[in-house]
Parts: sequence; C-alpha cells; structure tokens
Amino acid sequence: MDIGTGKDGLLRTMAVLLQLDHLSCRLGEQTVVDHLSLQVKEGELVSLLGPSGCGKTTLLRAIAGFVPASNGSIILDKQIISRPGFVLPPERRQIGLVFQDYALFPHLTVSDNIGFGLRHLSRTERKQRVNDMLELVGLQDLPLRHPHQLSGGQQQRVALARALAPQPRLLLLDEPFSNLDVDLRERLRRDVRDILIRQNMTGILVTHDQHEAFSWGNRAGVLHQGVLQQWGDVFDLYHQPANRFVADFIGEGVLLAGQMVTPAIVQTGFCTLDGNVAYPYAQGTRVDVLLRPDDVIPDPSSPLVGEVLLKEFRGSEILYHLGLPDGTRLPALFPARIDLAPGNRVHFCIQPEHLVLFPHT
Amino acid sequence: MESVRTLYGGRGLTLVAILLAMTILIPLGVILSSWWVVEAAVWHHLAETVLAELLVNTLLLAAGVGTGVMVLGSGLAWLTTLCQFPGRRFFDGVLILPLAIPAYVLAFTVLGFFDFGGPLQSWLSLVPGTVRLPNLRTPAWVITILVLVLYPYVYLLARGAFLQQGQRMLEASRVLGRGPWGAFFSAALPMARPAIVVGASLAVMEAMADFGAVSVFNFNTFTTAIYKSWFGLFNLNAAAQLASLLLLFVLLLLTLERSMRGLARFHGADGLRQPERIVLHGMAAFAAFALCALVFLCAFLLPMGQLLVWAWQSMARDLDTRYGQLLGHTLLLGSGAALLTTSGAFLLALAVRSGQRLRRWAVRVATLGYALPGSVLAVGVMVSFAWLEKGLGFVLLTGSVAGLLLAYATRFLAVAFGPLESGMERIRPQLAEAAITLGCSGTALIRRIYLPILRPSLLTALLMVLVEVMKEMPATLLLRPFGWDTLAVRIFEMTSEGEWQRAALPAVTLVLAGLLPVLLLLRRSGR
Repeated sequence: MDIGTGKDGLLRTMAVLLQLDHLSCRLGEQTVVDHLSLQVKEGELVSLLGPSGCGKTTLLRAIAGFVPASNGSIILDKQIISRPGFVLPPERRQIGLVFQDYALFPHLTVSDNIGFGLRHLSRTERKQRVNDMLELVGLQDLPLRHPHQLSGGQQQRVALARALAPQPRLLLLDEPFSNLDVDLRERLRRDVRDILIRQNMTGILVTHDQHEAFSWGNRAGVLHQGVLQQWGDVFDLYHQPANRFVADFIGEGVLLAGQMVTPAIVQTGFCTLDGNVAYPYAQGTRVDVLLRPDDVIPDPSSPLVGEVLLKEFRGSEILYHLGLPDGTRLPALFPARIDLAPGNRVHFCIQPEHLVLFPHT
Repeated sequence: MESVRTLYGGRGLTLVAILLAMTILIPLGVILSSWWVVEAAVWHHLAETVLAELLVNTLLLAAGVGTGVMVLGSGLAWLTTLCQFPGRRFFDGVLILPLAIPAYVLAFTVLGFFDFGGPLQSWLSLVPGTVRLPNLRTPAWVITILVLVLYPYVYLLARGAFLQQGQRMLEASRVLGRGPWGAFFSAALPMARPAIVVGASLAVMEAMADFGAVSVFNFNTFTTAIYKSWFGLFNLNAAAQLASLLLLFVLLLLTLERSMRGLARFHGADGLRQPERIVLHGMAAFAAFALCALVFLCAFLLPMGQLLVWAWQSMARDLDTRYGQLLGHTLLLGSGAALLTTSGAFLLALAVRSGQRLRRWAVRVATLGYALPGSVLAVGVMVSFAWLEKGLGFVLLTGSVAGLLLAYATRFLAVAFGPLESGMERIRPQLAEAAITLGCSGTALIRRIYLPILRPSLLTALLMVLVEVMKEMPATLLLRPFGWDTLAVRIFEMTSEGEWQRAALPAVTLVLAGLLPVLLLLRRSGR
C-alpha cells in the first residue's frame, strides 16, 4: 500500500494494481517495448500516448497476454502474469480488452455478445448481468440487434459492455474512439469515462490523440520507439516535458536557441527570459528554450514586434505565426477578438509559466 | 510462446497439416518408386503398340483443349462483360451452366445422338438420298467435347479479371489514343492474361485427368492405358509407371498455373464495378448473340434435352431398386467424403492462420490433390496400401470403402479448402482475441466462434465436395469395393456397351446435382 493524494486533495490509500517492471517485448527480431516500468493504481484511469508504431499497442497486447515478455515482468495484483518463459494465458488473466474496431461477434446478438464471457454464471445470473450492462451503456432497447445493424457509437458501447460484463480486474482500451466522428468521439469518451468511474474500474487507454489522453485521466505516459519517455501528471507532460520528443509530440511550440546569462536567465535571439528558478546549466551554456503558443501574449506596450505570416482560425482562438526581425518564426495563440491580417505587425510579450530548457544540440 | 498456442492451437494442428500433406506425398512417392522394377515385357509391348499413340494423343489433347478453352472462354467473357448486345445479361449467367455437366456425359450424349439408330439417323432416314454421318471418333471431336465442357474455367476467371480491371484502365488507354478494340487488345487482354492462363491450365489438367469422355470415344490416353494395364493386364506396377508419365505433364501444367496465379492477383485497381460497355449494333450484335446461343445450345440445352428424352423413355425400365441402390451408394460415398474432406480442410484453414512456415508448406502440398488425375491417385493409393499390408501381414484397407474415401479426400481437399480459406480470411484475428480475453479458448473457441461464423463456407465446401465425388469416375472405378457401384460407374458400364439410353437416367441425376454448386456460384456473383 502506498499513500496518495487525489486531485481533490483527500488522502486515500490506493493499492498498486498493475506493475510493469523493466518490461521488454520483441516481435521477431525487433524490440518493440524496451525496458519499460510503470505502476497503475486501483481505480485509476491512465493513458498511453504515442505516435503510430511507437509500441503502445504491443504493450497493451503484452498486458493482455497476447505478446510474451522477453525481459522483465508484468505483475497484476501482486501476481506475476508475464515474465520471460511464462505467460499466463489471456483467458485466465481477467483483463478486459476493448478493440479499436470493436471485434464484435457478427453471428451473435447484442445480448449474446455481452453474455459471451459469462459462461461461468447460471442462466438467471447471466441474464441479470447482461441486463445490467445493457442499462449501463444505454442500449436496453436493442438487445436483439446484430452488430451490423448498429451504428459505430452503438457498437462501441456493446464492445465496452462485453468487456465489462465479466467484471475484469483491469480494462484495456486500444484506440477505441478513433473510428468515430469527432463529435461522437468526445461525447462517448466522456460517457465511457463516467461508466468506468462509476464501476471503480481501472482503465488503460491507448491513443495517439493527446486531447483524448488529457481528458481521460490524471496520468499518462508518452511512448516513443518502445521507450517510455515520460510517465506522470498530464499537466506536467505539457508544461514540464522531460525531453525534446515529449515537448515536440505534446502540444505546439517552438524551440529557440539561447544562452544562459545567469543560472535563471536565458538570452535568446530577440529577448531575455527569466525562469525564476536556478537551472543546472553553467553561465554561457547554449540551450534551447521551449515556447508554447500560449506563452506569447499580445502587449501594445512591449518593444517586441512581429509580422503575421500565417493565420489559422480555431474558434475561440486564432493561431498566428509571427515572423521576427531575427528570422525566428514564433507560433502565438491569441484570443479571437485580436483579428490580424497577414502582413500586419503586432506587439507582444512572452510570459511562460515555467521555462523549459534543453541542452542545445 | 504459450500465448501463440492459445490462439492457433498447439502441435496438433501442425501434425494434421503434415499428415494431410503425406496423403499427397506418399502416393506420389510410391508411383515414382515403381521404376525400381522395370516391367521390360510390358514396356516392350507398350512401346511397340500404343506408347507413341499415347504421347501424340496427350499432346494433341493438351494443345487442342488449351487453345480451344482460351479462345472460347476469354472471347465469351469479353462479350458478356465488356460488350452490350441483346441477351447479354442472360448469357452472362447461363454460360457457366456447362460446368454442371461431366465431360463423359456430354461425350456419350453427342455420340449417342449421331450413332446408328440414334435420333439423327432416324430423322435422316426420312429424307430421301444418302446422307453420310460423320465419323465422330476423331481427335477433333474429343477436343470439341472437352472444350465445350471445360471452357467455363477460363470464362469465369477471365470474366472476373475483366470486371476487376475497372473502367479507369480502359479509359486511360482510350485517352492515350486507342479505339475500343485497340484498348481491348492492348490493355484489357494482356492484363487478364494471367487469369486466362490459370483457367486454361486448370482446364487442360482436367482434360489430362479425364477418363470417361476419352474412353467413350476410344481415344487412347494415359488414363485409359492405366485402366487397361490395371484391369486388362492386372499389372499394377506398369499402371504406376504409366501414371508417372502422366504426372510429368500434370507437373508442367501445375507449375504454369501456380506461377500465373501470383500474377493474376494484383490487378484490381478500382475494384468490381459496372464497366461502360461497347454497344454492338447490327451484324456484330447478331454475331455475338449467335455465338453465345450456339455455345449454350451445344454445351447445355441440346445435350440436356436429349438426356431428358432418353431418361423419360427408359424411366420405366431403369427407375428400379437398382437405381435406388446406385443413388444410395453415390450419396453415401459423397457425403462421407464431403464430411471427411471438409473436416480436414477446416483444420488446414485453422492451421494456415498462424502463418508458421512449416504449416504453410504442409497446407500448400496437401491442397495439390486437385492436380492429381483420379486414376493416378487410385494407383498411388492402391500401391501404398498393398505395400503397407505386405508389411503388416494382413488386409487392411485395400478394396475397402476407407481407401476410396481417402482417395476422394486427397483429390478434393482443395475444393473444400477454397471456400473455407476465404471464409477464414474474413474472420479478423481480433475476433479470436476478443473471445480469449472473455475466457473462451481452445476447442471452445472453435465451437463458439469459428464454426458458427464459417457455417456458410462449411456448407458450400460440403456441397462442392459431395457433387465432385458424385461425378468422379476413374478413381471410383479402380478403387470401389465389390458391390459399391455408383451412378458414374453405371454410366461407364452402359456407355462402354453403347447403351446410351440406359446411361441417361444416372446422367440426368448427376447433372441435376452438379447444377446445385453452379447455381450457388451464380447467386453469389450477384447475377
């Protein structure tokens, strides 16, 4: 047991449910997951984020038991379920999996799909559980439909209900929303999240969409080339990226070349930035500074000025690319009321919350 | 790799695949090893009398049937898919119906029609003057009969290829300055060439394997020679050596078919769609109509009509308990073989899913049986069992139903494997994984996922094997146990005595059964 503080500030005990310990997985000759360690606590919703081919789906399949471990171990509820030479078969792990394309059984009705994993229950119990699940996902009117008679969103709900019906210890979701329209995707994500929280279910979501990861749970990991680049609070992923890859993959922004003036102050090509903390770089060290578009703020009194090169309307905000006299191209996110045309000049200042520095390459 | 095992079954499936491959390899090996003992006397006799004739006839048959089916099959396919003329839609469907008629049935029907005392003669006798009937027992007629029965192989594949080329390819060649005819010869035909060659090699393989039609015409080929040296000379070893010569021809065709099959695959640029057809007018439209009508008439309507008339006339005499017995045996053998073969093919389709190399090879070998002529296979099975029994010291399977069923299963495994493999391809691996995460694995996975989803494919496979076995003649003739006569055997017996009329009832039965899978094919292709 370890003691954790929830986001609501309450102190509560949370047992570690899933632990990956220096896990590596190989597909053929290629190492797809590389010495990966992380912990997921009971009832927690976390996500694994990464570009396609980063190994996130393989990692999920390793947790489900379809891919063996070539190194390290997977521990579920204090029991080793995967290590080199041993794989607890997927059917005995009690881990639910929601597939990207749902993988509903085409020959079975909605009810029979949901009841598929309930062979161990008696008839009446099974019926009761299926009804509960239908109600949970809001499909009580369609129990006798076949998968091909359902919309994408409905199929997604059946897939979720089917995975939850046997009351798994852990639920894995493999890009479950990627086949849906943007509209439906957000609504369904919220619904699924609510359902899992109500069931106190531990859920790991795999996605390449950072917004999905951010709104899914408090913690997330970024995976690249099989290596876990950063694992932690989603706020930190954006504001305190651990390395260039994370900085680049999460959110928009630009890396500006600069030089340390004091341990806290960096001189870039067009301005001086104060990080208000001492950085572990010696004076004169060349560094790269991460600037997010929302760090750039319109300010008529500022001496800094840029020319609008590009304008992208985003609803309540507008993304501009500003060309600076020294040739820097700076992305800036302004409120939509600040309406500029390409060629216009605008005064701005830079107010980063935290200054993120990487050694210059 | 325990995880892999839950998904794809353990060593059991690999073993099954290897075992099924053995049913091909052992008869083949046995046939080839027949050359350890050279039957000098027999070969001397053969060489002096028939060997040259056999070789010439076989080459003639291959060249004639090959050319005939390619021209007729791709020509008809071009007319019905890329041209527009009155009756096109009708012919598009019915031109595959001859697939339902076994070659030997068309052969004896045509022969009987022209024979002394046949319908044609009695009509002609009403006409004053002497009209000489043509001598039908010539290579040209044998080839014509086989082309009329076998052209659907090319027709079907060429049709598919033409439809899959899509409009864009033809439009591209039109834009580049070719007329509609030029576009056909410079683009459509060359792109369909692999499919056409695959169809033609399948057709020629069937022609090489044919026993019934050539024996009705007294046209000596390897299959008739094998039969004669088995039943006439009682020399199984010489039969095996003749079989190995036939195998040489088959091997060449098989290589051709396999190499073209790979090329035939990747042409579907924009999928199946209704092509914009060349509209034929006047004489051209009439000629197209007349050609299709003539082929349909000669290959299906006329022979069917003649058979029905004969069957009606002989109904009183032939529709007796003996017919019931023949039908019973035929259905019993057919359904037994269908069950056996489909089960084997199902296991192979499961085995090949894992993509393991050994299994893939085993499956590839196991499904080669369609290329083995029935008479070759019969010799192989017979000799293998004879060896096995000599080793064991007691009679095991020789002359038993089991031996015959095994030969059927070996020959028709590919027939059942086709629909099952394509059905299996539609079951995504995630479906099995989903079932496994829900606690369902091993045989439960097969029972609850694969079997129910594959049910239509399984039924198709069962039906196709059943019908193929019902029509099968040479292996049945050579391997059937005493008293196990089938409809095909009855047809052979009656036709070898020139009793055409009395062969009609079993023949009609076989054609009607043969129509079932053809109609299924028609329905599936959406016509």
